[in-house]
Amino acid sequence: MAPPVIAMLASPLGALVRAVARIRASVHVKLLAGFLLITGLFIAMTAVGLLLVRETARQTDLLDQAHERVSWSRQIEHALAMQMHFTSMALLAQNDGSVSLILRENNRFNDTLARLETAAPPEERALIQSIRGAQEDAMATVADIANALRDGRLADATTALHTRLEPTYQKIEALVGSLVAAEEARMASLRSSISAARTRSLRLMAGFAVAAVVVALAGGFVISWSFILPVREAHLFLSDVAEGRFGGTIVVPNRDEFGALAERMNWMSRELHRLDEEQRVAAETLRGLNERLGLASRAKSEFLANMSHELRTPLNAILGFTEIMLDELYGEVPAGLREPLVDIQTNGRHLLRLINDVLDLSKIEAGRLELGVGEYSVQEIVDVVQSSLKSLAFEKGLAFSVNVPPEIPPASGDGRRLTQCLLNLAGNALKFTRQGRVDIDVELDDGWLTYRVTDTGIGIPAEEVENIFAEFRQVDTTITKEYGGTGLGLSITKRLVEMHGGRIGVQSELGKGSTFFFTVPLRADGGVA
Amino acid sequence: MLTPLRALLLGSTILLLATGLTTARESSAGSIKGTVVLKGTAPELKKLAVTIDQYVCGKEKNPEELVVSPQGGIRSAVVWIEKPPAAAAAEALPSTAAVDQRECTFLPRVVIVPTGGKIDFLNSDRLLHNLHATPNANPPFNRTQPKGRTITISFSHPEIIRVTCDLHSWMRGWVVVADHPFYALTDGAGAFELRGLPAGRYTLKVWQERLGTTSKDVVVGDQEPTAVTLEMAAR
Repeated sequence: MAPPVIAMLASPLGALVRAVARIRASVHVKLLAGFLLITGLFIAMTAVGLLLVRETARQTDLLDQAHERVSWSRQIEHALAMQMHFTSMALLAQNDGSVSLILRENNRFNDTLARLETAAPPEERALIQSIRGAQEDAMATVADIANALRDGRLADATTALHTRLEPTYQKIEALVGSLVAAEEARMASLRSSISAARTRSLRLMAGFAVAAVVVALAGGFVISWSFILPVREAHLFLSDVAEGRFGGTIVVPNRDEFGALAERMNWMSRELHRLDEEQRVAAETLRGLNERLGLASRAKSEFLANMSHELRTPLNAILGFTEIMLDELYGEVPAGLREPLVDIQTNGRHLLRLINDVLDLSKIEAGRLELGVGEYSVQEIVDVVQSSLKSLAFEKGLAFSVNVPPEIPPASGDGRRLTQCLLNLAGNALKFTRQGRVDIDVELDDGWLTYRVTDTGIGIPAEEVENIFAEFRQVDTTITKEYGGTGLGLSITKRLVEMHGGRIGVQSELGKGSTFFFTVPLRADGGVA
Repeated sequence: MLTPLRALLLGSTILLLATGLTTARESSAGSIKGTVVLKGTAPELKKLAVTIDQYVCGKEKNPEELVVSPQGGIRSAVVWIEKPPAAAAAEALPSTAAVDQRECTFLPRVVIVPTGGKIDFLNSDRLLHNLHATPNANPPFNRTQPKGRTITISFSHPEIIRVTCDLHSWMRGWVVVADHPFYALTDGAGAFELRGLPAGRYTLKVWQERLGTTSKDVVVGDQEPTAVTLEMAAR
């Protein structure tokens, strides 16, 4: 695990991650709970925001109302001034029009006062009642002045103005003044309260936003790590399994799907471990058996090699004496005995070839055959094979040609064995071809020599191609009867080619002919066995 | 099948019979019980918009210059006998009437007062009103009135006087100065009654502020109250 992860797991956050992992709930529920938590926080934020906005709106309304009341108070003050003005004007003009103006102003005053009274907060009612009382006095005085003017009682009107109306108006003005002062004080306090509320809501919102982001980050981190940890554990565990270390266990705090998964993995691990152990025991047994088999096989090969060697000595004696007899060194051979003697010689040679093949194969299998590596000439090999077999080709009436490019340089390898290989292939080709031709080609390509023998013979069925290089195999037993042969030639050839570091192959079509070829390095060192 | 008018007449006749029996026992004189009805369809009257002093007067006023009941009866019409009998036994009209000014409306809108009688005009509104009338026979008056003050005005000559308020143009009141007791004001159904009339032939006159004056001759009997329907043409 990476160091930051370890550091994280050691921190309180790591404890939280493990605690969340231990919660007995499904991944789905945990994710849902996380999202709901954050959503809930946002909903709470919105609700608080709305409450704050509503409170601010309420205070703004109060401010508006207070402002309106101040405006009405100002109108009252204005109406008072206008009444005084119009009263003076009416005293001068003394006509009904100017009187109506006073009355109109007085009614305007009344109307505004009535609005103010309805809108006023309870603590201002008493003040407004005082204004109302004074205004009712003023109303009576204005009516008296109006009526006095209409009756032409100018002196009465003037007296009323000075002694009654003016003091009343001054009283009203003072009262309205204190009303305005009260309202303005209220407005000031509302303004500061609104401003405080704005600051408070700004801080609250910022706090909520920060908290939401922190909770979202922490929640996302904790929940995701509570899922990542078991996945990492599982990853390490599976790496162990992939590398063949079975039997480990995985420990995760999770009690969710990951927990269940870990349990399954542990079960799987135990099973794998058990199977691995069983397999190991079986392999051990097999290895022992194989070793004994190898020993037995080598013993068999050695026995065969020794046996072949021992067989060759008497056989050579038989062949030698037969030849001496046929050469009539022991006197004239009766006509009736010559044919059996030739038969003895022919069969004896065949037996010797067979014994030689078995000896070679046994040596190879027993690992006792060593290549005699040295310089050789490809042309010479091909010439030896041609001269050995051309009489057979002539007897069977087959065309037999060889083709060696002149530019091939001297090659390195066991020339004698390679001659044996080519002789085997070409001999087989001549043996299995009734008519047509057999050709030997050699070519050099990029340091590799390919010897190729092409015939127009009986061909090999596709299903038999794989088997023809195995020991004692011919395509079928009837062929052995017709064409003879030990069935060991191809097998020995294959081994020899492989000992040179090359390979052998065949392309064949049943009834049309075959091409056998082997490829060896131009400079084989014999080290490749 | 009863037409609405016939049904009305039948209904009022039954009513008149019932009340007539009781009055017949009290007085030997005859009486008229009738209804003032509108002939034709009532004109559509627009509400009066109030532009000033809305706090006291309201935002608009119902037009009250012609109020007709669903049955066609005209409210606040004044019915009187043109030539009253010499020896009348009718009870005199009250010599003092009261008119209030409330929410910038004269209540009642039409008031009857005998010659030499008085009307107490009261202002119940929290603002100034200004009683103003320029009659033909009686002296004019133009009086500013604060809240709660009563102004009493005497009327010595018979006539119909329009009273207005200088400050509130929609305010209308009517004073009918009666020179004899046989004056009656119709109620909400347009009904009126004139009592203490000796039997005989009379000319009934009816006045309404919008529809003007009409007259009708009636014969009043001794015992039974005379039922009469006065029709006023819509215009």
